[in-house]
Amino acid sequence: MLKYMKYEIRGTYKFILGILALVFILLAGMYASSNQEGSLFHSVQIFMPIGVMLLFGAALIAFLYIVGSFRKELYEDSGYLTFTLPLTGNQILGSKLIAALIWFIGLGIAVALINFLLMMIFSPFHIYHLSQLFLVKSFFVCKFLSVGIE
Amino acid sequence: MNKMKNIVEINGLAKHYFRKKALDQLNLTIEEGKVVGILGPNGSGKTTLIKILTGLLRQTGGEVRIGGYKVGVATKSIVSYLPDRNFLYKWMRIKDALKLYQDFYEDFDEKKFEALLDFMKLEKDMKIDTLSKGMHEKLNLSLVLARDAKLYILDEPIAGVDPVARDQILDAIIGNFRENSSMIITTHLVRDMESILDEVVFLKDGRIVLAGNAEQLREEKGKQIDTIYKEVFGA
Amino acid sequence: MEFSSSLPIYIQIMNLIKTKVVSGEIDRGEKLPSVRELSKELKVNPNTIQRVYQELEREELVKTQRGMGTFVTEDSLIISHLKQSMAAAVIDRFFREMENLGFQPDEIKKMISERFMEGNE
Repeated sequence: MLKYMKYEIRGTYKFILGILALVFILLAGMYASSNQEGSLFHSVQIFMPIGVMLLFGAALIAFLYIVGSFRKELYEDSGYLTFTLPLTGNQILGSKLIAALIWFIGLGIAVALINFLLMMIFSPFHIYHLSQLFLVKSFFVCKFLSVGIE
Repeated sequence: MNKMKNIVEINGLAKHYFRKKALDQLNLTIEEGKVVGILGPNGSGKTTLIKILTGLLRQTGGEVRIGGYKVGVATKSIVSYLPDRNFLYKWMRIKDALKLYQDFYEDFDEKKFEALLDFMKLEKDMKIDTLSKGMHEKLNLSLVLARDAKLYILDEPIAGVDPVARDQILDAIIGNFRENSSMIITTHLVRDMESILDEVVFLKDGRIVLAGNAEQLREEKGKQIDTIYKEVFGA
Repeated sequence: MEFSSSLPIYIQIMNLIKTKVVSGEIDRGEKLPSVRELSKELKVNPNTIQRVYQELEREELVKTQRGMGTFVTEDSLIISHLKQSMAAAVIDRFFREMENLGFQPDEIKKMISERFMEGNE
């Protein structure tokens, strides 16, 4: 099963990295502009909700992608490979869930780090960011639970 | 004369959908060392049968045993399956596919694979998504034949490839013949394949309408299997 | 190899080998290709070749030695007998087909002589 996870991760990492890059760029943009007086993001009331929505959006996309890849496997040609490997259905499912878990946690940590980094660079409203981070973390936990339930 | 072992034993196999019987009371045994052709048009139940043998579908009734095991993880380790489509993950290079087969199949022979790759003029570094249809087919076949499996299942191995590739594929199949393995080949290109088949099974509407040793049938009917096919399935 | 539909494949291959042996293309005592090699060459199931060699051995035209291969017989008597019977079969067929076309034996004889004389000029 561990062997299969290797392949599952190699199949999905590019997309996750893509999301991360996108989030980074958008956040960096937001942080950078938040330091400028006239900018939209200068005010906390706007920055925080947008920041949260951004992270929510990223989490949502990652979530839908992982769910989509389960479905894809069932309908696409690659299913002919996956489901004829000498693995039980549970092993395959387990691998995919664990890979999804790794991505969520990884994404969460990466985003937190990005936030810290950007904070260091731009240092706007510190306190609000800490609370934002909390929101983000709890979001990911919820997402993982919902996938697990599914 | 020692009794040949049966690699595949199918008894009363049935697959029912809501209104349709895809397979109906199918009985079939395949001995060691035999190459069996499952012949029939689309909708005959060929694909359903193959999917059940490879574990992609569950039967509704009846029993299927491969190498003595019921279909499951144990049979997947001894069955080498060539689907009729490009089944490798799109992000792979040929060497990744090699690694995957090595990882999951103990009976995979790397040297044999490399020899086949050479014969097919393919290279390990190539990306899967840049391969033409013919190259795909040749790669897939190389992976499948490089395994020392008990049962090979080739689904339409030469459909949709150019005549040169076709010859290479047939050569590889013949060259890979093993005495203690068996092979199931489905095809509607009967003329090209009939001389490599030991036995043929004609499937129509989920039932076997004719089966037997290929040479014997040719002798009895005085016709090529290709011609018999046309008679059985009618114009 | 293109196979006709009128005879089982293994018989057609046997005839192919027989022809080569009587014509001398394959020598007495020469080693025939292995089952696997020949099956690849002719693009047929190795079991078919197996049967070919078995039947030829039964007719005493070849001998299979375990681990070494299949060899044409050294016995020239057997080969010349085979040559004669194959020739007889060709001649029979010739006469049958000529008669089907409506020729009488004397006409056939005349045509053959004429053909030979042409050949000698």
